Amino acid sequence: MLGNLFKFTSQFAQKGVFLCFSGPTSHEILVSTGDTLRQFLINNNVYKKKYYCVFSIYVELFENMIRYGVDCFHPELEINNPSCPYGIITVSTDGNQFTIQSGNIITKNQFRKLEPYLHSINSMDQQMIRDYYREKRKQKCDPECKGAGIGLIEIVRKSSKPISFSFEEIDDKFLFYTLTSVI
Amino acid sequence: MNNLEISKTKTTPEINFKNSTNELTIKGESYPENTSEFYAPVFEWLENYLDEITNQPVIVNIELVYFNSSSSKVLMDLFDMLEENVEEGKNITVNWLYDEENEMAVEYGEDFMEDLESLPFNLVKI
Repeated sequence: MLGNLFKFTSQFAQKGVFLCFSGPTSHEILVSTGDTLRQFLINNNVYKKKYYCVFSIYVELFENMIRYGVDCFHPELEINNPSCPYGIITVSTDGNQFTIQSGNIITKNQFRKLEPYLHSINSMDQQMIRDYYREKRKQKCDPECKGAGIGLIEIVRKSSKPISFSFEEIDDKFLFYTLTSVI
Repeated sequence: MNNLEISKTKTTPEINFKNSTNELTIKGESYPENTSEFYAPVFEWLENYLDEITNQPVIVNIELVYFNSSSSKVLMDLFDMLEENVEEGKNITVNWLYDEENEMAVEYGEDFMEDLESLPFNLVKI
């Protein structure tokens, strides 16, 4: 395990990862790691627009992990569990661009809705995504919705290129979902 | 009716709704753990207030440097509510205060402005 941690850290360092959190997610952790991210951006004189884009995408991705992630390490808690779902998030930079990657576990049912949705919003141009954002924001939330349902649109809108995403099968019920945004 | 005062925290803005001066201010950052829970008393106060007032001028100052997507939705609901009241004859003006360097705040202000028809909505550089 010790050897593995050194291996992970070296790989992160090579990729310019300066922040990584892995474990049970919660709002408190979002706030404290978010503060660390902001301090890093301030210390490196990142200009305001980029600063808010990076921070904003970090918040939306982290909130999605908290809201929609499931913890398949505890199979009795399939979805909407009151505990803190597992998530991993990294922020890296090459000195110019920032890359934020989040990974969490979702069910196959979630995947069936999420995948086509991601494809559809990812193919929209700037004007389309802006209009779609405003359209969704005007809609009344249905009772079972947990957030505003516009977090992913916000991420696509603020990323400087199309997002990338992947789904890796864990078993017949769960998938590991990764989303990457470049700013 | 009392004023509504909520102090700012790291993830919630300062709310200062003054019944006495008809000035309502939301200032700071907004990414609460539970957005609807945080804003519920704000909407409740506002509903009572709007019921009470007639046509005295009301100024709503919004100065948010950062807000997450669920807060954005709440703001839209808030502006929709104010707009309905303007359509009923109330005299309400929203000032969207922004720092020029924060392009995102300007862009979001413009988005809200385009989505509103009868509610006077000004973009104000700080």
